[in-house]
Amino acid sequence: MKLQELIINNFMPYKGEQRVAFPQHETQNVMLLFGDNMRGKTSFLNSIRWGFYGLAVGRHLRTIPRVNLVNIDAAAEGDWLMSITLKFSHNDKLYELRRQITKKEHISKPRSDSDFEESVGLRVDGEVLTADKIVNEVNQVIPEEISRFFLFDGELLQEYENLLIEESEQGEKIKEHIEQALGVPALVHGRDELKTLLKTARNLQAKDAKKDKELQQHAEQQRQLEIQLTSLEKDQKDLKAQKTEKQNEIDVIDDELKNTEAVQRKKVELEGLTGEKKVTEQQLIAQEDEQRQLLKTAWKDVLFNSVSLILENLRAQRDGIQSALSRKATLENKVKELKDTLEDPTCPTCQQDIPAEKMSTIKNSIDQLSAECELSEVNIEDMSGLNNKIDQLSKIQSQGEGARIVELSNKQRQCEVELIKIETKLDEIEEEIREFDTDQIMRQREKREQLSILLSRIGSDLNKIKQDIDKNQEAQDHIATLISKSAGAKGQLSSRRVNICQELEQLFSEGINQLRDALRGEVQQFASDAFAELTTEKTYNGLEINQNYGLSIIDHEGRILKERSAGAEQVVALALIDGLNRTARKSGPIVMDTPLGRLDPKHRSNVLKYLPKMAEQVVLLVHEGEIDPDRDLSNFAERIGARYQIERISATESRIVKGD
Amino acid sequence: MEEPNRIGLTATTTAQLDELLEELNPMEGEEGTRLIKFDIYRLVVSLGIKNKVSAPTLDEKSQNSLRVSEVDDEGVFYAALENSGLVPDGTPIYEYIERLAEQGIKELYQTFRATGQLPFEEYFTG
Repeated sequence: MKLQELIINNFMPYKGEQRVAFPQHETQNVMLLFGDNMRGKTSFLNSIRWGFYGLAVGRHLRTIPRVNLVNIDAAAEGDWLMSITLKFSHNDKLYELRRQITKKEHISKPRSDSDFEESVGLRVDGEVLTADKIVNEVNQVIPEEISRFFLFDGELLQEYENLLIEESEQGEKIKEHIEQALGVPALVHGRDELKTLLKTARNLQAKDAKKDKELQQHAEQQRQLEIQLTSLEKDQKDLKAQKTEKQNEIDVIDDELKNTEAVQRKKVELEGLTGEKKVTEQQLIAQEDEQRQLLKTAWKDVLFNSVSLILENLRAQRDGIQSALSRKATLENKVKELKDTLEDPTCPTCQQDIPAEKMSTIKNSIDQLSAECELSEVNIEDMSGLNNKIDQLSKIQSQGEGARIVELSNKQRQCEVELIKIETKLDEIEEEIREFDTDQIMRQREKREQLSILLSRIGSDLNKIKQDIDKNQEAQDHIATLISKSAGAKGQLSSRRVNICQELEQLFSEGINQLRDALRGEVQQFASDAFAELTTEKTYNGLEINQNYGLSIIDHEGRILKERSAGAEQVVALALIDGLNRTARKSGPIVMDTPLGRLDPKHRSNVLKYLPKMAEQVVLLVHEGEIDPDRDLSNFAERIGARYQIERISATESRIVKGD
Repeated sequence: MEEPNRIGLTATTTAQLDELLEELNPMEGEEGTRLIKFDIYRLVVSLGIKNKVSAPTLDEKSQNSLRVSEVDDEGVFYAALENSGLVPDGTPIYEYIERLAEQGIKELYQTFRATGQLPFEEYFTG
């Protein structure tokens, strides 16, 4: 299939009629549509999707209501007619598909989808097809199931990372889309229909068995199991509905939160800073309190240093007095000894008499020593006064209060500086988020968390029910086999029917597994080939696919790369898209919105070289930050067949103009 | 030489001390350690002794609101000053202590007014 022309009328930002012709050349097969953010690139993609399938999707693949599809300015002027015409060729036939909506006549201002009427027309080689054939014809050319992979929103590339996470909701959703595109549901539906047939066959078999006395017990067991199965299936259906409902609620919240991510980050930062401020203020209060406690006795610390010198002097004085006292005592002893010698002049050692001439020398010594003794007179009261003073001053003890107060004072200064910084930052953040209802954002976050918990609980319940259903079916199979083998039922039509349905159901189940394995192998091969051309790291061995179609990079030693950059994620996702496209269909266009957002120049260059090979027609919706018209285009200038630019007319109106 | 039983501050300095205490203590109703007049009085006297301050006589009449036995319950200020050589001959020691307190609190008040804080580094280092 090849797109030829798109005619947009009043679709989203595109007011009035605007025409875009797609390149038809075999090698010049790339069309570039440049547009800044919020100018209408994704709307362009949606215009094609809506033209083909009557569906335009926003984030999380949610359908955009019709009232939001009509250009706001045109609607304000009373023009509620919006249409998309797609001209394309397929198998040498020309197709012209026109889809339009307009408000119903009796509605003054449409509010819901039902306030509009839709009409679709399709001409094939000029021949008008009847309405009932249009959907079938479009799906023959370009099935809706694969639209996700040829009408591709690059901003959603990151979603493919979820395929690597076991049991992730988003991953499950994408896996479902992938399998739809690859045709797995055809077999799944077949198996499910066989299950229904098997159920009916078992009922009939049980009815027949009831008539046979020997088999009555089995029939009753089968009946009970059937009742149980019906109840389990009802619970499963209810839970699935609940799961979808809760997931939708989460998607709505995620959309809201996505727009306020920066505010949320600021709010979290604000809360953190408020906590820090409180802690710092408490630290300051505690430091001030300790400082006051220390100030009560700080005078002792100051005085201790001053009196230490005085104490030293006083102790020296006391030592002087003590020395004098001791000297006086020594002198008095000496005088007493000499006086004793005068009274008894015999040598105490040799017992000989002391000569008279020596006695006069002793008398002189006594006089001299007595005089010295009188000079060493000490006032005992001075001594006790000194002792009192020393005792008193010794009571002053320092606990190092001063040093601690200075230390605390420095800490306080640091805390105060810190506090000012925090308060300044708080003021700045508060100013930044002043216009947002941050409490509502936080409430939504909490609600999302609660919904996630609920969703995980529903998931567990569903697993449990699935196990119970599997057990129940095994038991029914077993009983059905027992009945079939019994003499009474052998050859009966109902038993033969059960056997056939069981075998077919098993065949389909195995077929599904085989198909999945084969498809996964094919996707892995195509994606690995694409990855080899896209990546700048040539030592990688390729990609490995998991049960969910998630792709892991395999390094040169065959190990899975655990961590990968945002750029690597994008390259892997592009390789997956290519692998899926090649596995799902043989040819057709690819329309890609913002596919190069997170790539470095080398990867961008590789991707730009590779993209023209991905499909017969490649339409790239890009902004100039992704592709520099001067620098990047040289790599594949020869592949560009058409170039357009989205021009801003006003905040609500854009125009597509042909480029050079 | 007779020592006074009571000492204090002039009315002006008493008001300044009250103001200082109000600034340094937690607000009314808040919890925490509270400083009292004695704490600051003793601190400035000990700083005066440490810095060998020559304190002039009071320029106003003292309010004599503090009992000597409470300000210097162990007689340590007396003992320290008696042996410091700071007190002029003929001046009762507690009168000199009063002068040191008067001068110290005036300076403390002025510094606090000028800078919003007490110069702890100056007081407690060196």
